[in-house]
Amino acid sequence: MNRSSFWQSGLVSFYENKLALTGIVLLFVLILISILGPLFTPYTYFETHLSLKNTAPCPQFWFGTDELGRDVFTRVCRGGQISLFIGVTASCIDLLIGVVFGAFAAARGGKTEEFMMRCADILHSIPHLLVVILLTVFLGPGLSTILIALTITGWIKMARIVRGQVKQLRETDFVKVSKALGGSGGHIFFKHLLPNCMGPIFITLTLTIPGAIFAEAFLSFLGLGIEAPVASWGSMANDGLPALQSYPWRLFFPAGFISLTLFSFYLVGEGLRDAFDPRIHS
Amino acid sequence: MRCFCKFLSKKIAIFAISIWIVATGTFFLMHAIPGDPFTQDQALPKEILEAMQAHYGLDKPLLVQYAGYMKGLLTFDFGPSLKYQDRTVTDVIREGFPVSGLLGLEALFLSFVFGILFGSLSALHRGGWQDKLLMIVSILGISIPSFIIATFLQYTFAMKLSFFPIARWGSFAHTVLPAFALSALPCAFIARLSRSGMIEVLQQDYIQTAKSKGLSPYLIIIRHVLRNALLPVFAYLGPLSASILTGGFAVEKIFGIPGLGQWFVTSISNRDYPVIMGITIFYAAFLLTSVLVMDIISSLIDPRIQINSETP
Repeated sequence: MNRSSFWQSGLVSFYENKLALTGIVLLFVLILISILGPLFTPYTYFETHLSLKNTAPCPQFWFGTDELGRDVFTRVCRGGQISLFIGVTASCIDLLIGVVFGAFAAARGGKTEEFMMRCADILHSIPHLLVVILLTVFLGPGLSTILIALTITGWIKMARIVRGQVKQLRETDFVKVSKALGGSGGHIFFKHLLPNCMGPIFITLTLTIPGAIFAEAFLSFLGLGIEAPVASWGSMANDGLPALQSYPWRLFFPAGFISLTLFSFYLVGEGLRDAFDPRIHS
Repeated sequence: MRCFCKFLSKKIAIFAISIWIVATGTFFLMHAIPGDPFTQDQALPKEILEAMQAHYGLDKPLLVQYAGYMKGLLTFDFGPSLKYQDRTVTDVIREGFPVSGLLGLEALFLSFVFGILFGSLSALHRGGWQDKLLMIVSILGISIPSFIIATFLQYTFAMKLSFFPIARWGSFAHTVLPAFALSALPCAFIARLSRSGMIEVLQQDYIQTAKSKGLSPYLIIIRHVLRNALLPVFAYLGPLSASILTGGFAVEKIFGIPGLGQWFVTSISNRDYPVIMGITIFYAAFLLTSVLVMDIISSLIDPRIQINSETP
């Protein structure tokens, strides 16, 4: 009863938030373009047309072509698929590790918890992008490298949030009652603790996805991420940078798509936080 | 006071362990990479290769190299660069850091001035169109990566309008665009922190008292509100400088600035491992130190930060 009204009031205030709704719509459109866009062009993302290189945007090539005559629109769509894949996969791995680590730490308590959280603190104090860059140097560029590098420190935030929530919830009456009634640890965790953690977990998730997308774009922009011929927004921006003065569309389209995607993710994430964060509510 | 000592020693212990982990981690990572910097398209004769490895001490057992490297670190000796002869990593840092540091300070200054200005404006017009507009701008500032803002600024203000030089380093005019690009994210962040801080402070009783005494709104803001509202901003100075620093990798590349970030990126593509290691450790130590110092300062300024309580 109490919980459903919490969700309802949260959803209502989310729907009333015009910015957040704009974010959802934008995100939906961007995902549709990335997935369905290539169906509307006769080109593939790696197909070269050397005689038509650096063509300005025109009806034949909507976003123009790059230095090898590849269709920028198809490549932007392909880059979008990769960015979304990386964002969602990395966040899901973060989520999994974070929930297991955080819940385990909170459940054990005492010295084990102290030790686990100190380790997390130390890992967290090391600048995230430095770790990611070092690992890409070590593992060599590629999709799996980026995923490993992003998740190796990415889970910490989630673990901290889950631990905090679990610790807080354990002190609530309904969990104590469940315990007194003989509920097993697993029952309490899955039936009571986890469902009540979902709000903060979900909000964190909508903010870690754009974080991962940004990190991939940043790495690829530095030339450490996705390698040719596979397209990524960051690597396309990197390729377009030297030609900025003569062929600006080669940089502007991928850059615009990165910015729009991150912007709409943040709009949604902020909206969710405002709607569901009880601290802001009260 | 005993509490504070405990807090301090805990912080310093974490600081020391973190630096040690970074140094050890980078050392073993860089030494575990298959192949070495001397691997080129044209294979070197065996004798020369061995002589070079002996010169750089790469023929010794790994643990001996590790001990030597750690000993060097204590005296800020990061070893020689493998790519540029007669140049040590310390030289590279000494050359690159003042450039990056100047740019970073300029960006930090800009983000403080504009962040606090925008934050106060939003808080004073809470709910009004100014507030909403600034809120959208701040989400834009947080979400758009600095390397995209940098290219946009370069294209518009340097290439099309020719207000500023397109690239390179030298005069104050060269620093303006990169500093603005770097300051976007911290500026947005500071704006939001100071907005929520000010809104909270404006509701306090002592502000009502100041108002009822007939103090002018501007005096109230300057004397009472800003001082208390800005504490959370200072607490975030560590992460903020981290973002300026890593943003520098891309922004220095775009504007061709000979800073430490540019060196870092070049040394990665050159596979110049000692330089990669040295700059990583230097960056990590620099950031960790600034976080530590900010933690201590903000706990000294603000008695509300309970130093004995667990950090969330």
